[in-house]
Amino acid sequence: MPRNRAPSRQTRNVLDALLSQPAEWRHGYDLGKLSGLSSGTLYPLLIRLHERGLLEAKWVEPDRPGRPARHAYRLSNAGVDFARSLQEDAAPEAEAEAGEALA
Amino acid sequence: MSASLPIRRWLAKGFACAAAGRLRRRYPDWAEAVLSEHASLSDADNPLGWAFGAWWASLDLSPGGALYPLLLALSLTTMALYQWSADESLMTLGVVGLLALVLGLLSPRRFLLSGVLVGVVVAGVNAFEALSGIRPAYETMPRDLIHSVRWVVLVLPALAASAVGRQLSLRFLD
Repeated sequence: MPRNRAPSRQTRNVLDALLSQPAEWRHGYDLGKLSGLSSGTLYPLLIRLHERGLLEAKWVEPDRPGRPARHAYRLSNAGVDFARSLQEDAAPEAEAEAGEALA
Repeated sequence: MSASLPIRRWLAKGFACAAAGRLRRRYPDWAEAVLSEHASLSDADNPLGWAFGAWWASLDLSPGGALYPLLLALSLTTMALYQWSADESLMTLGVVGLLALVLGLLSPRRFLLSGVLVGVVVAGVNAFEALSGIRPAYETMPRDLIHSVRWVVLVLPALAASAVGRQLSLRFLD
């Protein structure tokens, strides 16, 4: 998938959070806590990732009776590839920054 | 239970419903997601903060959402300055129509609000002149209030223009 511009730090946070356990479905609130983003930032990102085919969404039955079904999210295969490629791109930069800090 | 807790719950529900309402047309599944997520949160999860964030996000995601308040303010200011600098004429009608059309195009859901607000500016400025006695230099005679208020009639062409903008937006932009 072509990348027109570098994703924002917030997008990377969401992708990293989802990539930490890529098979697991996560709710919006939990994902917000994991990525450190507020719902005001998180939901537009989730919608855009979903529109780009990088995110899967489904309704999950509640774990407690009387609660509504919840929307849950995980990376699609394309999303996993994309998130991994971002991490790989970022790794040399992080190593260089760490080297500079130690020097 | 703190006395503010029911108020916080009520506000949270209001923000969640408002967010869902904004999202429903373009992102129906996500609108339901906002409502169900809100209903799943406990008081310890700060549902008010979460719902306010979701509402804020819905402003960004609705068509023309984030720009609308800014452009509405700009349009009303432009209309007021124009009315202050020129007497009523066909040009006034043209400016009213143009501004209402653009606002209707930008935010089809708020075409009524746009039409009414743009339409009452001329009457508002004239009423201000009549009530305060402050008037632009070219106005030699003081205005009377009845004469001023009758310019509310401009709401009709403004509404027509914003409705046209709405139709154009629904047809070509959405």
